[in-house]
Amino acid sequence: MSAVPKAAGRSKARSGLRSLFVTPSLVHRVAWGAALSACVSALIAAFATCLFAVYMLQHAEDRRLTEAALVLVSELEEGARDDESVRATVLDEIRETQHSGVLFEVFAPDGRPITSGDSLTLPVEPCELQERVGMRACRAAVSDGIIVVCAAVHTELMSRFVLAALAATLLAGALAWLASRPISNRVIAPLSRLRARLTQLDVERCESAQLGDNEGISEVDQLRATIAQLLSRVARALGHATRFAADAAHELRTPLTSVRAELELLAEDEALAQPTRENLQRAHATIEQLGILVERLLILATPRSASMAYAEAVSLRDVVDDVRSALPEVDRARVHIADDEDATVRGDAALLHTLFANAMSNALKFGKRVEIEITKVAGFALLYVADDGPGIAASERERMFEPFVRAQRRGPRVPGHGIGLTIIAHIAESHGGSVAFVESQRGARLQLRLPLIA
Amino acid sequence: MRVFVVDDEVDVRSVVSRALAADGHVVMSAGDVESARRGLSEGADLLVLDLSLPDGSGLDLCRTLRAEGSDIPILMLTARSEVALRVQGLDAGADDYLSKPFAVAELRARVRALGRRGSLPRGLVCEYGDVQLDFAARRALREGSEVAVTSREWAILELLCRRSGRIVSRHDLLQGVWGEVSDSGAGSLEVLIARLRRKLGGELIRTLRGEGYALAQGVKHERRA
Repeated sequence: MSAVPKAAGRSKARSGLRSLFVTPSLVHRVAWGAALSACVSALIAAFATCLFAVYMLQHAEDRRLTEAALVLVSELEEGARDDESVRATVLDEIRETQHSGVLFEVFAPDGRPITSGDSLTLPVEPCELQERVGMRACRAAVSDGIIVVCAAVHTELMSRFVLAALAATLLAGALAWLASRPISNRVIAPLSRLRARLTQLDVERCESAQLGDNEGISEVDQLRATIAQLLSRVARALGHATRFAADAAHELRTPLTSVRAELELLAEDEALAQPTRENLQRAHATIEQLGILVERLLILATPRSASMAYAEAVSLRDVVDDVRSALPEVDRARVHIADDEDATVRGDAALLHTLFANAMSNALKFGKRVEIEITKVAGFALLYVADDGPGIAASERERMFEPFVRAQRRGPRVPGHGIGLTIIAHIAESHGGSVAFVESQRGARLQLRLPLIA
Repeated sequence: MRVFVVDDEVDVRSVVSRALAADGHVVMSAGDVESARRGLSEGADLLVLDLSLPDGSGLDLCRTLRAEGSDIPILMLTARSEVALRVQGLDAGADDYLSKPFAVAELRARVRALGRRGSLPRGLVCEYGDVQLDFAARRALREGSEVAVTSREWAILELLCRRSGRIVSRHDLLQGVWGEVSDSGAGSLEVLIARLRRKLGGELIRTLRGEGYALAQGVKHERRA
């Protein structure tokens, strides 16, 4: 048993941490997904464009060089082929094209360079990169085997393109991430609408739940239909419980009425012997206790919604006064009501009477003096029942409202069913209120919160 | 007083009859709606009616009787305690309401009280200045807006209204509202009167020192169908 709260505490802490770093929301996931896929597709597109562009540029450069070579070839074809005249023609050509940055070299058919330069070698391919000089060289042949090679400084394009592609991808990713949030919000909107309706839903009145119209999106509509089915099953189960409680109430109260009334009538007979009278009183006390237990169980068996179908204006002060005046003289003197403050709430007077009777008898069991205080704070009536008994440890306070849990209070064990506080909580909740033990200087202090009448 | 007891549970019917007979009432009884109607036609001063009967509900019998113009005081008994039923019972024309299981002493007190004051005129509405009290619907209006009046406050207003301006002694109010005269009741009565004055205006209820309370002169009584 002791491991349970510890483990619960740890998992609570962990989920707290997780929600701090990663918001586990659908919008978040969709946004990330969209940004990621935008990045990947941008990357692929950018690289494909890169490769194509590099290829095209290379191709254009090669054509320029080949054409330059062909121009020289046609000039060489017109003149003499000896080395001297070839050199002269080439020098002419260089002079003419010196601003274009193109380098010329002419090789004899045996591969010997005719022009002076020793920077270029004879290309094996029609066009190739000569890494030694960092130049791109293309060749063209004169009809008698002389080979003209044209070259220009080679610019490494690929790395620049890759940088540009990466930058474009990052930009696309960032834009996608920024845009994906509103977009995914829109995508999720039908789900959000469904959720909003579900938040407004009162589980105990779910037969009248409004889940809205079909969204026309199959997943969302299926989810809606499933929830609607679930709700109708819950409504049916609640209906069963309500009917059961009502039937049980009738079946149990009827015999209790006749037995109790018979005993009361019997006790009126003045001719009764003293021992018989005492036996009758004991039987009467027992049947009263049984009646109280039945009433308590019936309250718990009735779903919270069913008990509040109708309500009337109830003065808390009236109820407290009634409960107090129904106490035996000795106990009445121990109950002190703070002042003349009053608060009116909407509810069932009989149930509220039961609530206070339970709270008061509980306080009287554990303390010598019981103090009751009624105040109003921000639309709520607050009622405190405080005793000067041993009090309840802060760690146990919440658990006390579970059925059949008794406080590990010091002192002698006190008789009871162990459902008094459960009933108090049940009635408070069915009135739209709440109940809790709050800090007190001595003893236990029960705080009851009920919405004030509008 | 001739009291007619209608309950489908033989044991309950029998013990209630004996208890009331011991108080000196002439008691007749029935177990279903039909024999109840037959018995009532012979005349009775008060009806003790259970809500659930084998051939119909006590609520319907109550409504039928009122529709026929009967003003016999009706004390409703029920083993089901929901406010809904209590409200419906009072709506249907019952004058008082007792949940099972009850103490015989309380049943007797309620029967006595009801016999003394009789049934509330049907559809009674009281008006004084800007205050309007509709007893059948249990709605109190002041300057057109609804005022939350508790059932005990209604009981006081009802007693005062029934005497239409004449004095009601503190003793009668305590007896009529709390069923007994006690010190704690006397304190509460003053608190309730003060509260009613706060809610409905200071002039509606007059205090007559040493005598009791009365409604202000000039309260209009009206019976609505």
